[in-house]
Amino acid sequence: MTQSYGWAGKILWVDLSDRKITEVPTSDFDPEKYLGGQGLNSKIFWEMGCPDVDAFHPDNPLILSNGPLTGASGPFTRSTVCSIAPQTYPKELFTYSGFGGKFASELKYAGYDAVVIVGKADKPSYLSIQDGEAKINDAGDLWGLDAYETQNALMGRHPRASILVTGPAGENLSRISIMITEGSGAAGQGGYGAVMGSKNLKAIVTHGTGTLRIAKPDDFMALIRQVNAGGEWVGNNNMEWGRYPQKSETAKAAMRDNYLVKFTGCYACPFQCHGVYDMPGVGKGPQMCNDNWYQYSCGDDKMGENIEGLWEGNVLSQKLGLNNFELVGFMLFFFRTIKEHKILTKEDFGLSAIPAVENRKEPEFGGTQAHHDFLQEFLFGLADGSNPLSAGMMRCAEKFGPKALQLANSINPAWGMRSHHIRGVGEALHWATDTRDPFNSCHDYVSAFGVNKTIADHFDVIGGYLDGESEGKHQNIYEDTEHQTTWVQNHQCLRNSLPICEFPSMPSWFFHPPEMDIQIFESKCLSAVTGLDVDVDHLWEKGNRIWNLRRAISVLREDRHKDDDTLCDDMFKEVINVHAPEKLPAPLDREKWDALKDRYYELRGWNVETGRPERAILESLDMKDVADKLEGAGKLG
Amino acid sequence: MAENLTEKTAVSARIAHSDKSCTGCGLCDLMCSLYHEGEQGQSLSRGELVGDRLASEFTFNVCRQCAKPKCYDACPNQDKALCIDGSTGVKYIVADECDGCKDCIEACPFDPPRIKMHPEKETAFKCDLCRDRAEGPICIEYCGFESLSLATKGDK
Repeated sequence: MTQSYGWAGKILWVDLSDRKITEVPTSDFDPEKYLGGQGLNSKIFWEMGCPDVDAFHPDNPLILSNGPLTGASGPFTRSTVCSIAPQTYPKELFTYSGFGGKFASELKYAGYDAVVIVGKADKPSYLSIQDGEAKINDAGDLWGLDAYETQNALMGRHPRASILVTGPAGENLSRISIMITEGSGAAGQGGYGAVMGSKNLKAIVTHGTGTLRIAKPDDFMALIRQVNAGGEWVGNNNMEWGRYPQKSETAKAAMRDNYLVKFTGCYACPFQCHGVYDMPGVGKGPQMCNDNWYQYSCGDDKMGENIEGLWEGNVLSQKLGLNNFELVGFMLFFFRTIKEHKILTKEDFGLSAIPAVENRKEPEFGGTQAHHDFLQEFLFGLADGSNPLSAGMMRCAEKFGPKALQLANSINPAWGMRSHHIRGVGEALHWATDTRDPFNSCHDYVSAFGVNKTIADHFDVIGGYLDGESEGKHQNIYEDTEHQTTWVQNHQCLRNSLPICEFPSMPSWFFHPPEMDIQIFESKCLSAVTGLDVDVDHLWEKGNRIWNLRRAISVLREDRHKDDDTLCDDMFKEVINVHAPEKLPAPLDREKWDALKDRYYELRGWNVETGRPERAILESLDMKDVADKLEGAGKLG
Repeated sequence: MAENLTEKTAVSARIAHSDKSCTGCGLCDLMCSLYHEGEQGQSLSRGELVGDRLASEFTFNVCRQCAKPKCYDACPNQDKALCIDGSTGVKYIVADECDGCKDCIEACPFDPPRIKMHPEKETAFKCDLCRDRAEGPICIEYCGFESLSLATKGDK
């Protein structure tokens, strides 16, 4: 590959079974068509033949990429991880997750666009990647250490390196384990920490002294200046939703006034949306919006009064390498509901107490000590696999029978992933046709189009449908919703492939039409960094192509069919789980939903009877090879 | 060296860093390398933000613009390669005049040295407070958290 700008040009291919490390040119995987991140990962998986193996099989590749923008100043330092996921339910699907921190930039500076890891090491190992050299090292002394201990140990051996680890949860193959770098830069959804664990891979460390060469530095500088002049680029000291606990003013004030050290965030990003807190006796670490939800385990009416519990839950789970999003969902909805429905007892979970639910009527709520004991027992139980939830909410519920499963389904609309921001039909359609929760794009709906018709009109999608939500005035809108979902899905693919972080790439950011909107911003960044001439239409075509490749993988490997594109039954019923904090204004109407799906398939160029891509759309996206392979498998259209 | 310069070097400003509010975003390094080299990465930045990202503790290693610059004294091509700005006292390197002998790097009293070698050009480079930039140092301009500032002698 002669590409000098944007891409590093090489992919590191590591076979842990035979300890073989090779380099493959990135150009083998059409980076100009598939960019990086999710697109590149998907292309690699496709070319590997979409192995039909279990998540913990050595042949399940763990693929990790940065993207052409990574290494540049901006919210671009993200790694996208793709692999067959232990967490998705009922099937282990090939899906994705992502994380920030500095890792992605270091990998780029070290000379690589991606790392592909296959096989299984015969003993605990870690991979080091430094300036074009990679090595498999012994990690016998690291196995069993928590995520922070592991990083501290490796920092001594690899100064300045970025370190990605799996914690005890991943070592014990918990399906809700994370890959984590720094304090909380985690690939959360998917259970990929356990894929590392299954490969005996404790960590990946990387450092590089290379640079990102920028094709048009003056253009890129001008672009940064432009957004800076708009007041959007620097000095964003308003990221309150991330930096402070938001669930009660009491908690926010107590944390801010007593324990806030500073703000932090991902490398190269001007937004720095995390708060760093140091609570003596509990620990030091960062927090983002979801991390403070451990308050919920204190009970609704006590939120904010147990900040020690809040902070302990956050720090401990990150050290153990557990998925906060899943845990919070579990504690908030599932635990309580189970208790109220008397389906399960604490003994079923092997816990001595569940103060959050058992002590709800008591004034002390079990108190700080009880909460501490609960978290210790609960979280460590997950980390060592002794707690049934270690397998994730859905598989845990399955074990406890149909009633528990029904409850879990009402919390998890699809794929065993917890409900969040599913407040319009567009989001529902996105969920139904994805391979995991589309959480990292659902803010496009909720925070941009849903509440701002002007922005929605600008992008020619439906909008403003959340107006009057608090008064119960908004309705399910089916008409034209397929356009909205398709827009966000294509954008999601670009986000995960350029990459650009979700929050600063919401359509409501950089919104100064006609000179600047998020599509223009992304296409101009890509053009300036890579030197390719990418206008908005070309950019969107790439997003569409990546979505189609993801669909082709689902069809080929997982036999995906339109019948699979659905949500749990509760989404179609009058009574949606009362504990879900956010929901559709009304149950989905089967007839309208089915008609919407048909329009969506038509718009996508997919077969309306099967939900599978047709040759015409694939060829129009320069994906004849994909069409041929699907046809060969009898799964085209 | 002209006599009057000695006095002026004593009042030269320098980049000062405070870890108190530093988030570790590294835009200082990235904007520096973009402005001066048209590339982005720490190795081509005149400064270098280092530290412990897990603990969120950072230091910015950058030229201190010494009042008695040993790098300047050590330069065999003094006043052509390593120079002192007559009006501001800023010590700067003229890449075209630098023969890459590294004497200035060895003379730098700080660890790590605050002068680096360009891997391709094989010339020395260091912070010159963006002396050719009307808006002043780009690292300070793009630091969103007031962690960088221009300090003069006497400031910490």
